[in-house]
Amino acid sequence: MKNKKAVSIMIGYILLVTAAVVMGVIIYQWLKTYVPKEALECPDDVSIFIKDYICEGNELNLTLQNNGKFSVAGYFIHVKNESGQKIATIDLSKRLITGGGEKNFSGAVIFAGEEENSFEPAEEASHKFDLTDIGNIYLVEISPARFQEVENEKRFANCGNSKIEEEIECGEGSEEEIPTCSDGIMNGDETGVDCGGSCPACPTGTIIFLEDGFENTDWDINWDGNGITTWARTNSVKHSGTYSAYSSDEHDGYLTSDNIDTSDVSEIHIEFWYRLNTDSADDFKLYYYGDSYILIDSLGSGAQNTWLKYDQVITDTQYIKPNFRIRFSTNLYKYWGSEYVWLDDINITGSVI
Amino acid sequence: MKNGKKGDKRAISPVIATVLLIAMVIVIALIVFLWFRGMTGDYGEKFGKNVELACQDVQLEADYYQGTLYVVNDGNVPVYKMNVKLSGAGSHSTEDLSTLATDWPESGLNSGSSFSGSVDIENAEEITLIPVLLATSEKGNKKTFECSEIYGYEISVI
Repeated sequence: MKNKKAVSIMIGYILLVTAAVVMGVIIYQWLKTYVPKEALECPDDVSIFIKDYICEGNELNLTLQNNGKFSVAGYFIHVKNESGQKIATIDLSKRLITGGGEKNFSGAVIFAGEEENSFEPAEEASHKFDLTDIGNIYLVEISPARFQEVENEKRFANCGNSKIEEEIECGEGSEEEIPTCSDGIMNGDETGVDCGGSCPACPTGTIIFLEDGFENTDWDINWDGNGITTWARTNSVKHSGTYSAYSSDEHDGYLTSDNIDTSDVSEIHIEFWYRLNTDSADDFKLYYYGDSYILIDSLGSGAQNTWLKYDQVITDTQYIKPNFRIRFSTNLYKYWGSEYVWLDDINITGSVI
Repeated sequence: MKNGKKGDKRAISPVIATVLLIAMVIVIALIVFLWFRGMTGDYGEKFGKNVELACQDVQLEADYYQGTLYVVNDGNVPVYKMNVKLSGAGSHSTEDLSTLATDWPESGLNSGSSFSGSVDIENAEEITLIPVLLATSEKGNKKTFECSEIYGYEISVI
């Protein structure tokens, strides 16, 4: 019997291809949300700065200039009224008195103009804000914002990477305080913190605060006053001497120095050697302590298995105080093998300029 | 036609066999697809992409000073809620910031917005702020998604 009828081979192929295409479309629709899209962000060269400011009673008059290469639509503005506070969180956008556009868009001050991004490069604008009930202002933070096109859609973008901050003294009690020899800051005719000029003479020369190669029997004697360290000591890897301190997945955590009194110097010199067997910057971090631990550097992505030198001079007055500390922090894991960080020959000295 | 002759057995035609094969492949593919999808979870979308990816774009700046937590959203991803992980010596706990502080904005922390509120962290040595985003599910419903801790903002308070 050679007379059987059925669908041809061609139709069979068409069915097969159709099924494959349908499955492909379904999987594509599902997986495409996992494909990273272009994030909403501003170009690198967006920049505005505070050219001038005037405090008049309870009003703050800011003169802003666009010193970037792109026009800007507006800006987010925050101030702080606590001197010890690190970031500004009091929103001034709703306190604009004069100078802005008619609308306050999405919590931002909008520049006057017909264009969406109306504040052109090199242009200047003056905006006045009401500071009633805020008190003294110590810091202004301004983050530019612009309308940005992403995938054929205009969206209002906060240019957080171009954020600027300006320390100012403004408000009811902004009169300059009379400098004294015990106010903890270098002011008046002082040549150091509360010394020099009309105050007692400043100490001279170099002061050695800490020299540690972890060679002592009690190896963490300089590192146990602010929490017991999770780090350990080894003699298998060292920069000099017999030992170094190290961290691994089993010894992950902090190595924090005892308090160091740096209040008699005007600059601190930090120097140490470190060696990495890890590859992510955040695996090894350096902090300094003023009023809180401040991240200074993420060092984990340097060259591996070779000793690297870190050298820094600090003149920031927030670290010139009786309880300055240095902290090393690791975040290490065990994958195919363990990650390690070694540390040796830490020298912390101070000097008076 | 003689009974029992070799080569005269009847069976399904090649076409039916092909159709059966295709049907089996589709059914198996569907089963694998649904299983894999259940494993990855439907967390919803944010700005047209999976909400897990949106977590990478969250940009916060925060500080804890004298009992007050200060947070500014410097990025372009609105943060609906914030979970606070308090880590102390040998223990940690995670709580919703809106339960720790009374004035967390109801609509969340939009781009450029700021928050400051009194927060009791007890004996914690480190605070990690973990963003919770509002995503849209396939059915169009709004659902919250807690970002992974690696996208959290750490504040040391020792």
